[in-house]
Amino acid sequence: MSNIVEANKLVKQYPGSPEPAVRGVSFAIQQGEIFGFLGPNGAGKTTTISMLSCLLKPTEGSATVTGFDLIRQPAEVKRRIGLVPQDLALYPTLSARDNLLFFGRIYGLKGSDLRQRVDDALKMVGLSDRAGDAVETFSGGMKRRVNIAAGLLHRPEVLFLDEPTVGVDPQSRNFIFENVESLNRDGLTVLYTTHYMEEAQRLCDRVAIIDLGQIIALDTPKALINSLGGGIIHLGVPPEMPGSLIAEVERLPNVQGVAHTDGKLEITAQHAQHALIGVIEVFNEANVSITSLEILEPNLETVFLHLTGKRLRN
Amino acid sequence: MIRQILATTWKDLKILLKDFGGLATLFLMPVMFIFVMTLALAGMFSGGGDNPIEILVVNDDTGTIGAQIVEGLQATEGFAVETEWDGAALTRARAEALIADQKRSIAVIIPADFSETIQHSVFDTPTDETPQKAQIDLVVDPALSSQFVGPVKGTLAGLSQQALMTGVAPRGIDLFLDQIEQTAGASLPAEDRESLREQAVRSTAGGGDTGSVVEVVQMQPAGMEIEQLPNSVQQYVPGWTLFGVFFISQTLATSLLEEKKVGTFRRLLVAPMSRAALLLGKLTPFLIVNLVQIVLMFAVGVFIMPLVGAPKLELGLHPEGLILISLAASLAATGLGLLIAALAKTAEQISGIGSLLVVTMAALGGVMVPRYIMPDFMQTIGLISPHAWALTAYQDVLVRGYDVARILPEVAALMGFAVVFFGVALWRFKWD
Repeated sequence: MSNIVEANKLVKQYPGSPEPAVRGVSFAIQQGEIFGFLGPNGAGKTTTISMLSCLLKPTEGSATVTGFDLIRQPAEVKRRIGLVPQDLALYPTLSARDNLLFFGRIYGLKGSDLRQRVDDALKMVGLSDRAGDAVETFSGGMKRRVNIAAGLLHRPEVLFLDEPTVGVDPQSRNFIFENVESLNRDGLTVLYTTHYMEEAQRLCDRVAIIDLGQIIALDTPKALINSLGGGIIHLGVPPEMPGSLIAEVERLPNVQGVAHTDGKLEITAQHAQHALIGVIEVFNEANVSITSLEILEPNLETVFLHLTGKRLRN
Repeated sequence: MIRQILATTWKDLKILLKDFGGLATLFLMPVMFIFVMTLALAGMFSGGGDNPIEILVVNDDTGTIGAQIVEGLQATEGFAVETEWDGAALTRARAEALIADQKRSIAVIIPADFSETIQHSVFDTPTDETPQKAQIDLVVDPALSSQFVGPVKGTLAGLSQQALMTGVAPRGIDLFLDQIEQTAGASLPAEDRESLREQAVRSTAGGGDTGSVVEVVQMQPAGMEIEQLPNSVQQYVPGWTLFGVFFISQTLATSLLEEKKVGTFRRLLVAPMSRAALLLGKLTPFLIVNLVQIVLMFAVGVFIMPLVGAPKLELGLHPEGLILISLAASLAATGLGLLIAALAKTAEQISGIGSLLVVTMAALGGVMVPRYIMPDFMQTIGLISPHAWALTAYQDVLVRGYDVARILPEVAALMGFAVVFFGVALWRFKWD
């Protein structure tokens, strides 16, 4: 499959900011895939999307989108991408239909073609019956759906969805998932940013985990989770743990790796529950007390925690 | 690009139409001011306050009566008499030019034959050939209110009477005595006696009616044409209309900030739309609202104000000039709106910066108080306000009957404001 987006060491340093927001990000998105950007708020996801949509000029690095260079051919890029921004970028006092008609006209659509596409988009996001109502009367979820529809009218080749489910009720969230999946089935390439690991896990073919402006892991959700083995055990332990005890834990069957940081032991296991029995025995024999115990499910959240020592949402 | 501009214009007009409160403010506020100020100040809006009325005086009189009148004017409280300009004695041509340039508003011209004519008209037997009355020309800026002209006219009449009493009456009495001596002992023919008595009465007690001897003729400088003198409607309809026109700059700035805040601005920047198209589409609806505002406000002056007892707004001899001024003023106003949007970061700053700029400019520009009653330095400072240029241009058309060619300097100044506003705004504007 060919790459529809290729980013090569993108750097963005905002004027007056001590640290770059994005520090040398490289990745490729294949045509037809849903590519996820998973990371906490402030990780650099929106800045990267802004560079890819020609809103921000990269400080360093380069990228092509649909084969066109971001910096040299912005007009070509803009015509072929759709951006669903994190903000509800709609005119609140105008109706859903008027909003879509306006954005359609901006993309050069007109006449019956424009009206047909607006009707289709409203139908797709399930708002045909509320088309004439002012957007300000909508729930958060409905506004999000109009927001998505507005990014699709001109039938882009690649859609950038920036946190499309923030502040959305579960029903609208499911609706949005189904929309994204259905669009993808019809051939649309999607770059999906989120700080919800369930979304990345459910929707994305591949996920780039991003933190502090850098991609720290990039693979299919399954491969990323498999890297954890069967799960992770966090043990609270005394600060002055004998090194022999750690070595004993490492030798246990099922245990893949052990990391010790002051007062905390992180054990990567093929099967967390089985490993736990052996770990507790070793501690009992050594007469070392365990102050806390946590078994982390093998999921993307745990991957992020494992890689950064932080949780996705604080 | 045109389609994108039209789409944006149409979208913003729709948004404006949905905001009844905001729109009502834009239209009702100037109407309110027009009504209140025009009616409240109809009788005294140009009263002049404590500032003396500046009067240019050209005394060409070869006799003494003219000089007496000048002295009288100089001694009158509330008048500031100027007989020189730039160190040179004033001439009629210079005085008229100063009024035409709106440096001064009123000039008193006493002609060379003034004293002589008075002597003739008092002592000679009237004939058809000799002029019967001495004339003082009162050259007045047609835009000057009659409230200003009245006191000057009245004072001139009074001073003429005084001059007549002191300058002419002694000669009349001398004549009278001579006649008595010459005819002493002899009885005067009844006809002569009658004639002598009449002369003495006319030259002394008869001075109460100087109108029969001295006539004050009001005129405008050569080249300044007019149909009528300005009134409160001609001051306040264009004045408050301009206030409303420039007030829109706040609405425009708020609309731009709102687009940025909501994120639609970002969405439009991602679209294949040039920044020029984005801004043109954003500014055009406000330009349209401005023009509708102006038409409605002038319509209020023409059709509504007469119904409430105010004078009707006359549109002058060349009303087409009003269109040009309105376009230029609206461009300056939308430029100001963009400038405020570029400088302000929050809605609070917009209303702060906006109100400060708009109200100060209106005050300096003569919207609230006519500029011609302001001291010279205030009039000079007022030139930094686009309102001043626009109001002068409007009054040139409405009051002075100017054609398009003669308002071009003011229109050019307004376009200059628009260029500066747009220039600084685009320089400072933050696109992301």
